[in-house]
Amino acid sequence: MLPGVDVLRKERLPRPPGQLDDPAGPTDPVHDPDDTRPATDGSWFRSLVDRYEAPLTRYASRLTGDRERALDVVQDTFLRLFRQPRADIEAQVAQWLFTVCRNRSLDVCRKEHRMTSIDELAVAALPSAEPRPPAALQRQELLDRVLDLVGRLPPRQQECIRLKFQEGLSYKEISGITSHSVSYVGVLIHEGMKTLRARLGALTPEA
Amino acid sequence: MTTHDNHDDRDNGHERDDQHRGDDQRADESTLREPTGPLRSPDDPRLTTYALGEADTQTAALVERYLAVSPEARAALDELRTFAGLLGNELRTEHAPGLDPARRAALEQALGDGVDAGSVGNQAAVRDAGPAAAPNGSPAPTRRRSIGRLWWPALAAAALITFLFTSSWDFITRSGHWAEAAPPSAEVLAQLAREEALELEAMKRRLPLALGYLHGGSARSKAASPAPAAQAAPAPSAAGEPFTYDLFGEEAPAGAAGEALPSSQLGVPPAEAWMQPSGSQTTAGSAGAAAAAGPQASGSESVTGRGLKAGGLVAAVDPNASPAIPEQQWLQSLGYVGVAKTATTVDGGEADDARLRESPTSPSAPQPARESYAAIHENPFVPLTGDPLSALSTFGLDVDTASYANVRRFLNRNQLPPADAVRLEELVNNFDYALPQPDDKHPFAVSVESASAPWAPQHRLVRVALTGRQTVEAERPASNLVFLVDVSGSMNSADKLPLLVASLRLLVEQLGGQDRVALVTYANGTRLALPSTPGSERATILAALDGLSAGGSTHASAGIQQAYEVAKQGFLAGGNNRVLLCTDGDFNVGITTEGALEDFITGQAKSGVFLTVLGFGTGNLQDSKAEILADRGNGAYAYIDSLNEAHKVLVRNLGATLQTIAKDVKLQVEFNPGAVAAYRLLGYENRALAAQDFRDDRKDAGEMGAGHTVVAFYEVVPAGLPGLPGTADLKYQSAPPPDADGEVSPELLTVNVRYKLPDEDSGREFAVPFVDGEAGFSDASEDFRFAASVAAFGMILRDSRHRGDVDLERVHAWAAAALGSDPHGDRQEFLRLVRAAQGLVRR
Repeated sequence: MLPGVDVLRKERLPRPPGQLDDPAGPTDPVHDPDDTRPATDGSWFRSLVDRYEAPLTRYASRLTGDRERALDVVQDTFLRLFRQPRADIEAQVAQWLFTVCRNRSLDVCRKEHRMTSIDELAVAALPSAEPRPPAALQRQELLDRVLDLVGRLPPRQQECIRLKFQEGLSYKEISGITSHSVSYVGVLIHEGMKTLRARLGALTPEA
Repeated sequence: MTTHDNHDDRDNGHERDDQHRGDDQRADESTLREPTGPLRSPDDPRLTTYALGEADTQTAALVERYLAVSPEARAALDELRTFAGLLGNELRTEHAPGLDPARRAALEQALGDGVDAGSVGNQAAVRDAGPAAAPNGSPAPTRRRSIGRLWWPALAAAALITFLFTSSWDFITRSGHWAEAAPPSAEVLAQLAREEALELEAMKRRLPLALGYLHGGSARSKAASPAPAAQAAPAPSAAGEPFTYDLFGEEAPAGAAGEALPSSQLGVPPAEAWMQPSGSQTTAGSAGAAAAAGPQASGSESVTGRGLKAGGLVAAVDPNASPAIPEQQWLQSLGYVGVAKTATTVDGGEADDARLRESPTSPSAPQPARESYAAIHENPFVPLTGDPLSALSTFGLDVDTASYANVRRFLNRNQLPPADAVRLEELVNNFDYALPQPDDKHPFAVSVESASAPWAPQHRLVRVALTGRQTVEAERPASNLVFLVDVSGSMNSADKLPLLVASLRLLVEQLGGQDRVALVTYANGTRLALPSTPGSERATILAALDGLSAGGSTHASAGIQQAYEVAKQGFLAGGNNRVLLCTDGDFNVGITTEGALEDFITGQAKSGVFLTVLGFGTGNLQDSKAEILADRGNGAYAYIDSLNEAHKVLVRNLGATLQTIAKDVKLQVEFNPGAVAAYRLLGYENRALAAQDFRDDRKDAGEMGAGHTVVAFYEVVPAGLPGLPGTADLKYQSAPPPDADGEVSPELLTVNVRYKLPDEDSGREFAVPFVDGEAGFSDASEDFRFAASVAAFGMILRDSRHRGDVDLERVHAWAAAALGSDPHGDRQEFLRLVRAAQGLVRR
């Protein structure tokens, strides 16, 4: 923000778990304390890549609207991940990954399209590359419908709904990733769910 | 070293990313919050939060209480949970391809090569494969930059660097396996915890950010600054606690962790001089202001007006002036583009200034003045003749205090103020007086006291005082404020925009959730820098204020119209709706014809949106214009020359500044010809009204704010005296007529007051008669004597012909004997100003 005065830029470190009004402790759903931790950092990173490459790609695709660029963003995200000291981010690696992915995606978009806010992003449904087996057609219809409706939500609601239901992140993590307040995240998700229920109910009375 | 590379990535991972938030998002967030209080409907977002298992204990308690009483809510909860399950199921099955094999291989390579110093080259190669990844440069400059970017308290920085160095040696000697070196987790986490606590503290204490950075950077300033500024800020910055920063990605300004940085790196801002209460620094304060204004501006302050004894142009060199360069560095560090060397307006504004200037040009001024003051023709003695109109003195109220602050500014710089800048009523009204409070009938009380005039003992001095009702802060009606801020290039000096931002921050700290604040800037165009935001969103508002930077010339823009628009959009019925125009004198707010601007503001005031003008800086102050606009806008005009004054206007007297309890307040004093031979009103020259205007409700007059006290002095020549000088031999003056009963009334005068309640248009009136006593000056109350000495001071500064033989030494003596408790030091400061003037006045 300030020209040429790097000395004043603030360092940001991840919030250690359990510091802020969080009696439940770390909420990272992938961090299962009973898991035996990978012995080395290298294998830990690999496990993260395995676990998160798909969700991150999905997330980044939505934000950038372009699969290729999304893949670049995800690769970049992981490269940055590898340079983090494991102990620092281990407790909230999901939030870290999604935040970096989001920031990089928005940067890419801004650079390419001069967009300044997530509201201006083309958040469109991406076609599935796999063929659909006919037996699962009805199931697929519902999924398509849900995806279609979610894709039509206002961008901020859509992002929060996906982070919450698709990626399983907590309000707190979503707040950290998107820079919304936790309260606002709650409102966004509430509004989004309300809209979805209304529209879905109109389409599928039995759902 | 890769460990230092990490600081870049931490930024990307966790910085609260302001660049990704738009105005609309902030606006949205401000209007859409989870409600508070008990739940009332199943549509409450908190029910959803609870359904998803995200409610904290407090919210959960509220929800459960609601569920217990509402079957509708329980049904809704079930539906929510079901739907959440469905949504989750569906969305999670969405096809999610992972990385393609090529990229996967690149990642594998990055992992396999480890993360030593040697791997950075590989990473660069890997990055080339991914064009979207922005390279962060070679390790060495990154490392230097990382160290340079470490904004830690010195102690913690040393500890952390030591730790990282220690642990990183392990990484160098081993190859690629981090886990085998003992990770400094405990230490780092402890550091994180400390930082976390500091961040939270910073969130809670935004005011110290303003005062802290202004006082920081110099132990001298901390030592010198006394109570008033520090009162508002708990000690942290003064105590040397590591300065903290906020969550919105703002850069902490230079002086903040002054302990950590050598002053040569960022410069000790000389402009901090204006942060000192005027009482503690005289020449140093003037040096700061002089340095800020620059030599050119000082030179250009040969203002019009009579009585400038210091001799026109003032030499710019002040022995205590700090060099301009540190100030430039400081301004640069605050992000103000194009550091100003002087406070003059850019050329584009000069022609406008010439148009706006109102005072009659004085042929003796060697150079066109940049500051303008309306000429004041002092009220003469009015003899009571047989004409009834001569017995009536009518004027409108004035609660502005700008003149006192302005006079102080001059005296602090060892200059005499121009006579036209000295408005007696504003000098006297600058002080608080202990006066009887009003009862419930009227919003203010009138009290009259008399004694002999100290400068002319055979004359009586009558003080008429109006005391406005105090309001309890809790009952203060909601405020809808729009700051209209001049961000033209001329504001680019330390005593202007930075002081303005600091002052407005003080104000914002006083506001609450029921208040609203918006920010409109004008310079090269108008910008809505902050839409109307509830006062509880303090961080947002403060962030918008801090984002102001000066630049550009003041071309005509729609600033004022937009400001009023925004105010009207957020109009609070029954509340206080106000535009606060903050400027150093440029009134190019969109309406360029003076008359049209005044008419516009008058019209807006009728619609219930009032205008307060806050003046800043030197060299361009269009004092006359500001006062007129504030008057038309049913508001007040204050001149802010220091953070202390800002605190006085915007914190101490917040109720008065923000809340009008009566508008168009007029006084008409009727003198008894049987008791009075002549009278003279001290001050209020530019508030004079014709007698018939008193009951004319269309005539605009001054406004009273909550808690205001307003004082007017009359110097009265009692009947029976030989009369005024030169009138002893008049032949045709008749004797005073007796009243209806054939007796001469014992009353000296009657004060008639007329006012309107803020939302009414018809006036109310009441009268207070007064019978004079025989009190001599020394018998008068302390407040009376102090106020009289201030009036005498003003008369000397104006070289009034009515001053008699009073001199500043006697003024000082009278004031010193009447200091009273002086809780804020205002009266002490006055004594200091008297001493300062003593050195400048020839007689």
